[in-house]
Amino acid sequence: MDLLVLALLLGITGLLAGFVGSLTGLGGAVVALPVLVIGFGVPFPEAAGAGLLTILATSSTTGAAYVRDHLSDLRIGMFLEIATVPGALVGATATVFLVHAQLADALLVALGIILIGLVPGAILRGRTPTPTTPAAQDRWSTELGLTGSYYDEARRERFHYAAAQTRPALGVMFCAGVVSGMFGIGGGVFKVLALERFLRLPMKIATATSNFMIGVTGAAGASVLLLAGFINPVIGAPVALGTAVGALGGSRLLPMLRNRTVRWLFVPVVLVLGAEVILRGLGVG
Amino acid sequence: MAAVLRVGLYVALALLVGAIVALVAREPASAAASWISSNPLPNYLGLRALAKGLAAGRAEAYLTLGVFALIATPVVRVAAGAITFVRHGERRMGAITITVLALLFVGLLVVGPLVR
Repeated sequence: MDLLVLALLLGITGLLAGFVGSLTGLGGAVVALPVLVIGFGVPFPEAAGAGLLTILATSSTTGAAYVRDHLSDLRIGMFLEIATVPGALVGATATVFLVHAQLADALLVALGIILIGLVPGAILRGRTPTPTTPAAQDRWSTELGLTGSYYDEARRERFHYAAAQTRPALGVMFCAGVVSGMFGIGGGVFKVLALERFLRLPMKIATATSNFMIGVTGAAGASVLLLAGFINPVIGAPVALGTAVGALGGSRLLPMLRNRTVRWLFVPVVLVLGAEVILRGLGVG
Repeated sequence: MAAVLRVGLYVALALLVGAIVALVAREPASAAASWISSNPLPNYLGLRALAKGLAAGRAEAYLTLGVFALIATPVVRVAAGAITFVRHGERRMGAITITVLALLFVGLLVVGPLVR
């Protein structure tokens, strides 16, 4: 294989990963990363680096539309970044130390476990009913004014929302940051779960706010991995570009899908990829 | 705010696409395996090395700049948010946003160089 073929294949991988990632709500990196490891033989550090580039590209590409439509809640997002950014710094630093301690294979096994673990997370989120009245605010939420409203196009109604349970949410957000900094994936799934389950935000606001947040968290993790020499742009750039385009396509198609269960067709793909990554980490794959 | 995102994104994407195309045009038949196993980026992480590479028209230097732009976009957005909050007299939200910005710089200027 030569460089031209490599760049094209990486771009196509990103395109498909972005598409599947946005349809399932798992994120493009979740599909792209295992393919890089298994299909292209990319070592774990560079795969994680490519994952973070993918997150940055996707967050900025799809984020512009959300900000324009005022769906992304900057106050809530910024408040929670207090927890995710330190998490990402801790996670990325841990990855650098573990790789230098020759424990990259153990990280691969952990990556596979996280891939499989994200699936129930993504399925769970569809089950959370969208609140129609604002949730009861706690002290921090009241003092910081973590409330807002949005116009729901489908129901032709303006909905008001308020952030609840900010303290446990900060804890989950820290963990989401650690995972995203360590592996370059999954931060979005945990963030959306925390935004919906703890803060009790409507799905649309949670999705848009998480999309803004993964970019900031990704920047924190990426700056550490970049300086550690873990980001190889020859691999990461084609994947990230492809994923951003694929994610845009997927997000356009999603509202048109009548039967949302179509999305779960891709779940076995993620499970198989996760299992393959674990086997690779154990040295049997 | 959306404009910050879009400009940063377009600059980053243009740099990355252009540099990848230039790299492939320069060495289309070079072995893929060597590009996977060896990372050109660490050679351009210093400001002087990066400037020299950019001046010499090295695709790898522009690729590195593209990665910087991709990372910088959300950081600029946080900075823009901090200015907005402070301007509207929202002291608490302003303080929170400035803290987030400071933490991002801790990653880039303290944690990153330490693990290098």
